[in-house]
Amino acid sequence: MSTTAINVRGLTKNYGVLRALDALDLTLPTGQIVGLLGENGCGKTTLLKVLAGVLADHEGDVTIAGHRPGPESKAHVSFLPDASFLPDNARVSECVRLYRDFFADFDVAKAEDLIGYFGLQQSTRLKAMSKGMREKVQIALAMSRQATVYLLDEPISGVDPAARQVILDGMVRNLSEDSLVLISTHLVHDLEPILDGVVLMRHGKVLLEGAVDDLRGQYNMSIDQLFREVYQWSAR
Amino acid sequence: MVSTLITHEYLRTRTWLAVVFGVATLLTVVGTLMAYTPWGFIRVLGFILSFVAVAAFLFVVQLGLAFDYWRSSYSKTGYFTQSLPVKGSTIYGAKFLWGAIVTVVTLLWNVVLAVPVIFGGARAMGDGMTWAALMSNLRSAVGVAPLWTWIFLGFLFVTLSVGGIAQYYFAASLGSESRMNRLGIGGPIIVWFVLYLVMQVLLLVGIVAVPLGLGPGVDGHLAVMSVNYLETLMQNNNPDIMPLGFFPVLFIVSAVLIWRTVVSWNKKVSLA
Repeated sequence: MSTTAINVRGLTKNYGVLRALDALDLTLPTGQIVGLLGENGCGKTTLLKVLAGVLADHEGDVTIAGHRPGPESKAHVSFLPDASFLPDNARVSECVRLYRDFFADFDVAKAEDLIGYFGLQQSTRLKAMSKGMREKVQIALAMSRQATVYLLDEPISGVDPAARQVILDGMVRNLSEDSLVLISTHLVHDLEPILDGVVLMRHGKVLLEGAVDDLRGQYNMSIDQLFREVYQWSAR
Repeated sequence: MVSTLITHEYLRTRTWLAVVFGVATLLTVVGTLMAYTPWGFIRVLGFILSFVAVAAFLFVVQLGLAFDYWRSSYSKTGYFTQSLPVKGSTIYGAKFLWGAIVTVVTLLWNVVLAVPVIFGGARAMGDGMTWAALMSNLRSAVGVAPLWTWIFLGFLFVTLSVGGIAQYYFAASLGSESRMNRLGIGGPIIVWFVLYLVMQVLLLVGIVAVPLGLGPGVDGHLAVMSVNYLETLMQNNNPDIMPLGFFPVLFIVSAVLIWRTVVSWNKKVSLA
């Protein structure tokens, strides 16, 4: 049964004079994978940071997994930022321990399965890995939590096309049907096959949202084509 | 959860801490050995080397702790720390407690390292120093005041050293809030310099406002005495008596900084 995973009303966030989020409204239920799409600077990352509880000083009402962003919500939200957030010097096994020690919903067996699926060794240090390999480690850890909401910021950016497919397959591997996965990206073509819904953003607002199948039928084009059309129209 | 947090503080910092402790010890030993050579210039150089290693030890350790605090809380790895399902003040508390433990251990190791520096210093100046002479000098020095005075002064020194951690962590947290987080490490550095200037003014006010000092009394023993520091300042005199007015200022300021850092962790985290 789907319940509301994310409920945002009038969310506004300014960086000085720049308005990153402009009275944004968004409601997303559980049980789906949603693409958060838009060009650079449209507010995708800011929205994910607010939802993850790592960005204060915003206006509006935000609830995620039934809580305002804070310690309670973080127990149910798995956040994958667009940064190498694990210590460079750590081995993969040490990163697994880090997650095991701090997250009660972390599934060590699933993490080890995903790490093996990605072809990584637990004894390797992160600093000895390529960007794509590190990305895989971070995804394996983030997706191995039994979270209600997964917030993934550009999880496949900077990774070669072959690796992208492996990462995407790994992401949906053994994913609970009761969870919401919100993935920000502009690599729409790669992500489209796994998406159930999309949210298109521009200038800190939601431009368009809906189920992937409905949008394909309504506009008679793929989401990738729709993305290009939408941003072509709005750019004029 | 606090024990888990402290365990990971230890795991994350142990390598570089071991390096700093090792380098300080090595420099002290090498400097002392140099002070025992027959060549005058090398002897003095050795003493200076070991003296600087001991004098800078705590500063380097606390600076390293401050950088690690900033990096693990507000830089890239801060994304992990700030995503933990733990109240921000609890994470800060664990980091502060670990910083305090490291500071106390550093001070204790500093005392150990000071022994060869004293021997090396005496040798470099041309005098010999024996263990018996060192103990005798130490007994004489301790004898100028009751034991409780030394325990109290030791407690004050340790507490104020831990207070240094409060200042560094405050600067890192405030300098990483939304107003300054785009500056990266520049934000904490700016806040620290501003705090340093404000502290100088407050310390001066404290010394003038509390006209008490610690110095040798008429019988030669250490005693608390009344000193008008404002008057001595105006007359450009040096009373040679350690002012006590800066202690309450440092305690009060440390308490305020810790409170404001807790507010920052609980309500003002803003990762760039």
